[in-house]
Amino acid sequence: MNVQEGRELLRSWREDNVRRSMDVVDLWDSLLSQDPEALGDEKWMVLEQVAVAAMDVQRRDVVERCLKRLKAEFDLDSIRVRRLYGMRHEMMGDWESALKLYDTILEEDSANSSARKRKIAIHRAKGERPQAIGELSRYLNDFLCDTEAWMELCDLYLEERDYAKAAYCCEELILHNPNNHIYFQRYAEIKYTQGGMDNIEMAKTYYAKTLSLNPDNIRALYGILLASFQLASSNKMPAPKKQEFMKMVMWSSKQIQKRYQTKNAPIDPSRFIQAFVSQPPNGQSGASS
Amino acid sequence: MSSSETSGEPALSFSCRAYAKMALHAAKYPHCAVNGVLLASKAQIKSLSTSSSSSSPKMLVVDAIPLSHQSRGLSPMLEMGLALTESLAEQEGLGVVGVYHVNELFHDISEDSFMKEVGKKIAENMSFSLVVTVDNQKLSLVMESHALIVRQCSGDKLKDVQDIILEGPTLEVVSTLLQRKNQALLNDFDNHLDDMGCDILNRDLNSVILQCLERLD
Repeated sequence: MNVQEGRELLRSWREDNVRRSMDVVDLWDSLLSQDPEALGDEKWMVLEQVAVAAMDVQRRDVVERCLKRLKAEFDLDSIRVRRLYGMRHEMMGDWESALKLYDTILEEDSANSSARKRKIAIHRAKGERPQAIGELSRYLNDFLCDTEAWMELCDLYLEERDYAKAAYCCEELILHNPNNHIYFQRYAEIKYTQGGMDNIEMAKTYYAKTLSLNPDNIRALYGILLASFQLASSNKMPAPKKQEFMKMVMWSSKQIQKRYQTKNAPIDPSRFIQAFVSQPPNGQSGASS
Repeated sequence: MSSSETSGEPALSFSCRAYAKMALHAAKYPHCAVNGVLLASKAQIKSLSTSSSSSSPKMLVVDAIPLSHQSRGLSPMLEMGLALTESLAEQEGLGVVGVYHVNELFHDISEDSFMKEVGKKIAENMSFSLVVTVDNQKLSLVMESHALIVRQCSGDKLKDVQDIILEGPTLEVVSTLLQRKNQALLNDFDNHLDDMGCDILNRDLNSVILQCLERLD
């Protein structure tokens, strides 16, 4: 790989926002660290990217080198450089110094979303979940359209097992982007986990919507199979509805097996899938509570 | 493969394969909570389930199936992964004997409440199960001691299991695998759901582990 290719690879990871910290640092070590000047105008972006990746994998030597170069160019007047120094404190576990730096950023620019997010990240790192939830909720009052933040809040509520509030976050996400299959899938997963026949039926509906948005989503197919099976197994279910859910069990199991065959998958799930189809639908419900 | 040095003492042992998969799963997703299931031979599980002794289970955990690194706290794909694993294991004469998990935060060694519940569910069918927490802080490129915190789950209670043995030169093998960044070879059920070409039985990795074991043995 030459410098040009390495630069393009790093750019694509930046744009896709993927967390490949180890790979970024490897690329820096093997290719780009000898002569960062060869990166031209993109040099500063790369230095920032490498610094953050190096913090993630605790490569303090790389962090120091990148930050020194950035500080020499932009000084600590730059909010962006100051934020990086804050993150360096976080890497060392020095939360107090990090918070102080972030507060100086917010004094200058109260709308700086990344400094506020860092402060929330510190609560998470310290295991202070209720504080993280409180701060993040306040943050979302000001930055209603930050979908990444809604997703994070959803995760935090899941850890708290507050499924109703997690579902609410997911509803916000669906409203922001009604074509994203992942949000529908997540909503279905939350509803299924919440349990109870009404919620499981809701999960089945949302899994079906997920599949219509993305026919390749195998989680949705497995979800339809699982939810329909639970519904068909319920003693309280009236017979015609039972029939309907049994049909869904048959259909989804066939679909799943077809996918495995066409993809030539290394494992054969047919015995596993067969168990859903061959069990009598009036068995006990094993739905999670 | 050689077994433990001690004899007679009731001890829980982990195969190199099982330990390697837990460690590599943690290393592949250092910023995530990860989890999976542990497998032992059906015959061994059966004899332990029927015996009434309440001491630490004397058995060998032969393999681990990595399940998830995302969707923490959500049950549908966990249920599916567990059921699929059970079915695949059964065809090999193996059964699910417990779960393992690694926490998201580096210093956190508390047991995951979701995994504890899964452990309880497994214990319903066989009178006990294992809930293993992997300690991030003890994973490194040169490991001198194992990183497992093992709890035995029976009924509603969790009891610490102190007497743990790793099979043969497991720590050397796993240190080597981590130095070679072989965690890239490991697939969990989440990977499988994203791309069905990913093998949750990790047969490619199994042969790499075996080669490494043979070289060191």
